[in-house]
Amino acid sequence: MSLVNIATYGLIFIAATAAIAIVFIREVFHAALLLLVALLCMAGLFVVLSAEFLAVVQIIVYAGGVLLLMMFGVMVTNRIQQPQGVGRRNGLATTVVCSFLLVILVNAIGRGGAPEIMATESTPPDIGAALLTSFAFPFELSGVLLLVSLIGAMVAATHQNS
Amino acid sequence: MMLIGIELMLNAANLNLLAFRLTHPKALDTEMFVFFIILVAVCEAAVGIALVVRVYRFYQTSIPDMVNELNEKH
Repeated sequence: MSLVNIATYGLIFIAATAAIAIVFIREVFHAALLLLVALLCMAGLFVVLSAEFLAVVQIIVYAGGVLLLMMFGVMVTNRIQQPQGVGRRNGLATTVVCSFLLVILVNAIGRGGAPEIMATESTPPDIGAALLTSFAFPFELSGVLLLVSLIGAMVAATHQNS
Repeated sequence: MMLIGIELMLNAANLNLLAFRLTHPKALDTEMFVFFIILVAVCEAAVGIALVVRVYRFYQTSIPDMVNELNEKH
């Protein structure tokens, strides 16, 4: 077993443990911190899957942006000593449905077989060129979406009594 | 809490996409797909946090179970 394999399994283990802990933990702030751990491990897994650009994007956008936003949201809306968390209603039905989905997924992925690992070349220049040529329309559309969500978030968050 | 779950699920989808990309290493489509998924997730997180802040201002709580104005039993 090579060093890369050990690192990969370690990252998978840490990410899965953090993800499971997020579900069962009761405090939102701790859940956000665990989400940070899981996202960083996923960035490491992206590197293993030879998608370095996306790993960097993951760290910058999620660890830098989304997590910061979530922590501010938690701090603004959370009173101290207020245990939060999802309710445990419909626990049985949820368990049944989720186990069913898990069985289907494991079946489908197992049927696909393990892909043979090949070296991929997806350098940032390639991605940039693809963004501006064959993916120009979705790129522009995503710019519009970002603008709309920015304005929408501002309008939704500001308080006005009219 | 729900937002954290959504982010986690989107990330799992990204990881699966990138894993299956190895069968077609030449195509850039998967990377673009993952890129736009991340982008949409960011937009969703921003709007979601804004809504949570608004709901907190109105109801003085951010627990979804306690926002039960439409529940007749309450």
